[in-house]
Amino acid sequence: MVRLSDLHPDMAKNLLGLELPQLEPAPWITPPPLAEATVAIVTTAGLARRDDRPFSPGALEYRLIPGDTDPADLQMSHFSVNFDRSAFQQDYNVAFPIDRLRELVDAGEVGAVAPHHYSFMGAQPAPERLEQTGEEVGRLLREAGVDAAFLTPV
Amino acid sequence: MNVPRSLWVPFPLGRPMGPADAPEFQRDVLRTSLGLLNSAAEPTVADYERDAPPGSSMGDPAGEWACAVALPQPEPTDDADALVQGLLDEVRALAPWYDEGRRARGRSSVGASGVGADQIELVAGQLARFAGGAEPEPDGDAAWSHPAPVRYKFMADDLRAFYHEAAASQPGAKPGSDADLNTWVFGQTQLGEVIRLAADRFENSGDRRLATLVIGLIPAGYRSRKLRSW
Repeated sequence: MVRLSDLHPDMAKNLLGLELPQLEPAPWITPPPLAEATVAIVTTAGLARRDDRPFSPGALEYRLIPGDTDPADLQMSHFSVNFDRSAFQQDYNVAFPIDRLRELVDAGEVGAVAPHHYSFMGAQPAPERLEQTGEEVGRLLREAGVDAAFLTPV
Repeated sequence: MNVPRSLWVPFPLGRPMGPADAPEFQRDVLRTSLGLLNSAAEPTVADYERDAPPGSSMGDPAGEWACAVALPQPEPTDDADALVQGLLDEVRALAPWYDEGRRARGRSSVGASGVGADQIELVAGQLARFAGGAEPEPDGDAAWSHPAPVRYKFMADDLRAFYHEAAASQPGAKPGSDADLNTWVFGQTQLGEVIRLAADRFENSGDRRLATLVIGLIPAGYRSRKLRSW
């Protein structure tokens, strides 16, 4: 998250006007050592494979990104224009760091890359509406033996 | 989101991993974040304390960056044919550098509208005609990803991506920051004016659903025509 002072004043004003949700303490789970953990990426960058359905504004569903997807085939269909889009245009790893995760696995620092990653549409006006699909993805990750999800909010 | 462990990073929105094309830095962000899995004993928000590497232009305010390709000076008009011609002139001027960028990176982010960069002139023509209040030309059953009018939002995104990628592949000391690119597109190009005119059509439609599309067309702070250099 960027500092408010680094945002365009109009954007900072928009963010300051948002109501903050009340959050309960998150469930606490102790994972295995990182070098033995399987890690998935879950992003809200609105990414989908080019041959998959693009996101529509406010979409609540997710797109599956199989682990062997060529990241060059990822297409962003995010609704918001209020973020630095030049970043993803230059390097998909700024939002979907699959190359970096694979490198940490190759170096023995992380156990394994998950067989599937998940993508949601960000800029949700009512994020609580993602609860159902969010929990569904959590179950699917657990069934796939994933120990940790690395979340990249966009 | 309610997450048990998070790493607060000071990077601009859209860059959770920080600078582009900086593998070592990005690895460190990922390593530091995943490290919380084993080091944190309770729900934690940790600060990431490393600064972005020198030379990274991310987050910089608009400065002296300029597009090296000299684009024709836009003519003030809301005539659809003139808008189409003006936009096509820009797209054709930028096309060699867009192509070079796609070749060098091995990918392109253009395509959210459903048609690829090979049909960017179709995208430009359709958006400019909409902006000028004209009916769209036949599109040969192009595989648009969304129905109109949502389609026009993704056309605008694709054209901005085309311009950004063309600008990023030009020789120069450093790439333009987000503010540099927005100042260029919305201050100096026909594309910026075409997107503003499309936003006008949405706002003046009397349809609230269409009016809300405007926030998906133009970044906050770039709607005003006072930002134009012409």
